Amino acid sequence: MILVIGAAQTPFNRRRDGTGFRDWACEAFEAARAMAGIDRSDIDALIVASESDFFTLQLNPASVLAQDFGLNEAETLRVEGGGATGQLAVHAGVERILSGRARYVAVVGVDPSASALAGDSIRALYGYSFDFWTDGLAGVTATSLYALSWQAFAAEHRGTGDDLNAVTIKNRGNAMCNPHAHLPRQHTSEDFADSPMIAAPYCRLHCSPLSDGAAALILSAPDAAPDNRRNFAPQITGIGAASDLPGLGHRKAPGTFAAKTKAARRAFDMAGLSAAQIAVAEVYDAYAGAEMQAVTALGLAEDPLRTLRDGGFDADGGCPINLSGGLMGQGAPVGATGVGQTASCALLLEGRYHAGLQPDRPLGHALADTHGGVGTTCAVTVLSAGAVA
Amino acid sequence: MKQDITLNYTLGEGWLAPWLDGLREGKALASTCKECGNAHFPPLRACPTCRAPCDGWCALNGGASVVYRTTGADGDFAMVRFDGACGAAIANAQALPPDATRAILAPCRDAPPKLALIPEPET
Repeated sequence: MILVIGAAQTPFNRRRDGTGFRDWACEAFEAARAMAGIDRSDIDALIVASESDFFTLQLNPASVLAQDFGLNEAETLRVEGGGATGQLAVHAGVERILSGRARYVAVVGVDPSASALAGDSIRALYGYSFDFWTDGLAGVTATSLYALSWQAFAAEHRGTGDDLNAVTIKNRGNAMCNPHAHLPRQHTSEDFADSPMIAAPYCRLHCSPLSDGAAALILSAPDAAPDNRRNFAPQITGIGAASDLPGLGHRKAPGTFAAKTKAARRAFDMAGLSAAQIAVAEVYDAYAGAEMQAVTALGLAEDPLRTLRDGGFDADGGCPINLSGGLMGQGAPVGATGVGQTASCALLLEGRYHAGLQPDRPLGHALADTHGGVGTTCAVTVLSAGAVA
Repeated sequence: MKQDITLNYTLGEGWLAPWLDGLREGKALASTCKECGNAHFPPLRACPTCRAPCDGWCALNGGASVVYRTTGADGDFAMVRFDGACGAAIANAQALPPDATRAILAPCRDAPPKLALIPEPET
C-alpha cells in the first residue's frame, strides 16, 4: 500500500495567457508538494506522464521538468501509453516505492493538447495512436473508431442515442461545480439535435475536448509519510494494467473493452477488493459511449445502461461516475488526465474535493481508469481511504 | 512563439511489404498462421488464437461484407469482414453507397496506400 500525501491539478482548459507546459507542471507540482509537506530534497524520483513530443516539442521532458522543480539529483523517467499515459505513470511511481528504490515519488502529468497545435494537426497526430500500418492506412480518426466500437457495444447491450446524451449531460453537469473544468455546461436533450455529426452516432457534444493542463501527486512509503499525513492520506491499494489487440476488427468483440476487465481484475486482486466495494470512480470517457463501455468492463454495475438511466451514476447516485466531469467535462490534457483522475479520487476519499461535488457520506474505496487506443492499453488504479478517514 | 517543423519520413515496409504492395494493386493479401492456418486481414505477425508466427501469405478474393459503418465530418469508414479472413478490417468507405452491404478492395497508388473500398460489381 502506498500513500498519496499530495494531490493537485491546474485548471484543464485552452490556455490563452501565454503560459506553457513547464509553467503548468511547476504549478501542479508545487501545490502537491505543499500539501505533502515535504522538501524537494526528499523526493527520490520524478515520473513524468506526457503523451507526445509533438505536443511539447521536448524530448526527454522529465529531465527538463526535474530541473524546473529543483529535483536535480532525483531519478527521472518519462512514461507514455497513449490515453493511459497518466495512469501508467502513477503505476510506475507506485512500483518505485514498492521495490524499495524510493521513499517519495513525484508523479507529474502534463500536455499542451489544446494550444500548441491546430485542431487538424492534433487529429492527424491522434490518427497515429492506432496501428498506423493497418487501421491508420484507412485514414480513420479516433472518433470514427470509437463510433464503430460503440455501435458494436450498443448492438449487444441495446444502447441508444439517449444514453449517449445522458452521459454527456451528467458529466458536463458535474463539471459545473469543478472550478478546474474545461467544459462546464448544463446541456438539455434539445442541444444534441443541433450538434454537428462527427462520426455517427457521435456528434460534437458527445466528444471530450482537447485541453491544456497538468496534475501532480506525491506518493510516499507508509513509514516515510510526515506525521500529519500518515493517518489521513488516502492509499493506493491496487494497480493493474493489460492490453488488447490494437485493431478493433481483430478482437472477438469490438465493442467490449476486454483488457480493461483484466486490468481491473489485477488491481482488485492486489487491493483485496471487488468492484461492488467501489464507492466512486473516475472513468475514461473520451467519448460518451466509452464511459458505458468502460463501466461495463470494470464491473461497476450489473446492468450499466439501466443504472445510468436510473441515475445510479449521478452525483447523488449509488456510485457516482466522473464527479470531476471526466474527460468530457473537466477536459483532457492527455498526460495529465490519468494523474488528475487519481488526484480527484484521493481528494474525494480524504473529503477535500470541490464543494458541491464532495459526497456527504464517507467513501471507502475509489477507482481511476484510463486507456490508450480504443480500450487497447488499459490501466486501473484502486484507492482506499486513509486509516483515519 | 512560433515554431515550424516539416518532417519527411522514409519508413521501411519490412514484413508488411507484400500486404502494402497488394493494397496498391487492389489485391487483398492476408497473413496466415503457421499453426492453425487462420488468415488475418489486415495481417497480423502473431496469431491471436494460438500465438504462433503468421509467416505465410494467401490471396483473398477481395470481397468484403460491411459489419458497422460511421459517417460524419471525420469521413466515411466501415468495419468490414473480408471473405476468407478471420476478424475484420477498418476501411475507408467514402466510395460506397450509404446502404451498401458488400464491397471490394480498391487499388490505391497513393503513398502510403489507403485501405479503401469500392462497390462490388453487379453479377
